[in-house]
Amino acid sequence: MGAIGGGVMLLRLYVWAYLAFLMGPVALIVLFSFHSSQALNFPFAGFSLRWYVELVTNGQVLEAVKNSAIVALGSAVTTGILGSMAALAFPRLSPRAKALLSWTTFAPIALPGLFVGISLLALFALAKVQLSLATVTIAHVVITLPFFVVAARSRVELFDLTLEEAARDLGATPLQTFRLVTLPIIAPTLIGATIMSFALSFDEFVVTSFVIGTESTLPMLIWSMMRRTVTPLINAVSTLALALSVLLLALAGLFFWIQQRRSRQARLSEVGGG
Amino acid sequence: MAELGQKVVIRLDQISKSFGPVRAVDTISLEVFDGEILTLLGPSGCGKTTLMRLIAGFEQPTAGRVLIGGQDVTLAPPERRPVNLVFQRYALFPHLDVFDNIAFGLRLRKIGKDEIRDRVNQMLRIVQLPDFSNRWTHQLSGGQAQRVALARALVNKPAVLLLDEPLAALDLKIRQQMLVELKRIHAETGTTFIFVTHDQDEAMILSDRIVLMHQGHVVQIDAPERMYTRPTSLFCAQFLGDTNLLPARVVAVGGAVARCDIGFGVTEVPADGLAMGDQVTLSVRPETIVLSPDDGAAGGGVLRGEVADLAFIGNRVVYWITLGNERMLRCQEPRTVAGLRFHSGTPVCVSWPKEANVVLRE
Repeated sequence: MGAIGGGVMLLRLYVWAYLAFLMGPVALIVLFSFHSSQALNFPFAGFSLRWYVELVTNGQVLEAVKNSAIVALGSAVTTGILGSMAALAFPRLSPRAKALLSWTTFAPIALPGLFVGISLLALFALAKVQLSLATVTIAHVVITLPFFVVAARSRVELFDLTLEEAARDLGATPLQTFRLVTLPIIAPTLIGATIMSFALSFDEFVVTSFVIGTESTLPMLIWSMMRRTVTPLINAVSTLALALSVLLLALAGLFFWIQQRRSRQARLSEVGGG
Repeated sequence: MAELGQKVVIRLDQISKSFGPVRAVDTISLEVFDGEILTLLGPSGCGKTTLMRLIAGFEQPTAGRVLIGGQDVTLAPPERRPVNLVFQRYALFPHLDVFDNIAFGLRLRKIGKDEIRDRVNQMLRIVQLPDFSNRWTHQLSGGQAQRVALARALVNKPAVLLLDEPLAALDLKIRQQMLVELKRIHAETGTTFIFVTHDQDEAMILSDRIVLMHQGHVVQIDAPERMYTRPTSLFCAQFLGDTNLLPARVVAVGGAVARCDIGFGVTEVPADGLAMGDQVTLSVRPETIVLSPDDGAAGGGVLRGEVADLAFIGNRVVYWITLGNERMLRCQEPRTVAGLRFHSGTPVCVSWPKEANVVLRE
């Protein structure tokens, strides 16, 4: 028994070390974003909100946050529409077409951002498109689309196509079938994947750096600030970006929680209704 | 074949369906009568499901026509056909509760709220789930889900209700209950049923007529009892129930009776166009064979054999009898209160009434 207890102890230790390695840097950034002094090292001088105050009064930061939000919203909605259509096509394809399309869809994930950035820059130059937030949005669609399709496809492929046949059999046209049956059933999946695309776009840096115009997104701004000096302002910005990501994840989780609660309530009513 | 005075609701006219090189349905013509339960029966891959999907509109025939209520619907999509389908795995909409599932078809037809409520509640009573309106579909048992699927289809008052192996996913006990339920619901609604199954027991219990299918063709259409007692083909004789198949040669034809040599004896069959020397197969059902103790008293011309093996199956006993020439006969009799009549190795006399012989000329 003692040997087994020791083993479990070691495992526990490993798990904590693992978590510390993953979360330690994040925790430090959050901690120092509340630091009352300029110093980025211990001893910790005390808590203060001064960096957050500085942040919200900094026009540059606010502008960058706004730009990032516009780009992330634009690319997430575009990806959501294009990606949903692609994901819905998968269960209806022949095996050969499916293999071909999966390969071409997922290949960009393996491609280094460097290549994607250079090729998009070349494309925009060739088409004589002025670099702007619009080109960044297009680039982010290119990046997030494969992730969207990967995330949505697995769930959409579980969708039972006989449900569509049932709807048709009961008198629904193909369009009514989509609106009344297919879409409501897969909506949580598509919304979740869209939120994920938003998060991916919001902190994208590598490709953005190639195709951005005169405006700046939040990751670009942080990077340019870092080049000048390491200021605790960056910690505050990062902490806010982190909070936003967590918020988005919570939002995605909310969709599933609502569904779960709905079914739990129905279960309770079953017990009551006997 | 159509009996006088019976209204035809569905007419299939020389219908064929190919998937690439495979002919799933091969030139089938069929009439479905108003109010009957017609079963499409056959082994998997015989084309019965394809035939049903052709009627529902999920497939379009390669050749031939589909007429429902006298109207040619060969090219009409499923939503424009007056038939409804009950799917094998229920296919209930998971995002709707029981009420909304059943009301789905009515709402598409823009029927008033009050009428929808009345008709859905009436259907729930018919399928005996009166208090299930607000349940979610995933909380239903298999049998309950299938009842909801039935209600969802029947509430639209279809000209014909199609049932695609609706009991295959259910447990044995529930399956038996649902069979009885289906018969009752059929009687209560008067709807024409087309029932697809590979299970001969379901087909025999439920059907007014059975359409036996094999390799895309219709083998035989008959009432269950007639199909069982008078199969017209080897396939039918073997597929429906158990049987002994005896190769036979016609050795004498006199008047209405032909005598057949079955190797270990001679038996009589109706002459019915048979000629001397014809090679046929006789089908003799196990339960028609009579066994009696061989006490040596019986004279010549009696078939003698020995019990090779037996199986006690609750309400019946099956004996395998070896005859002199190594031929094995399968016999079946009800369990008697007195217990097993014979044991392995018991010598027995074997006989059966000549009416039990069914001549198959393949």
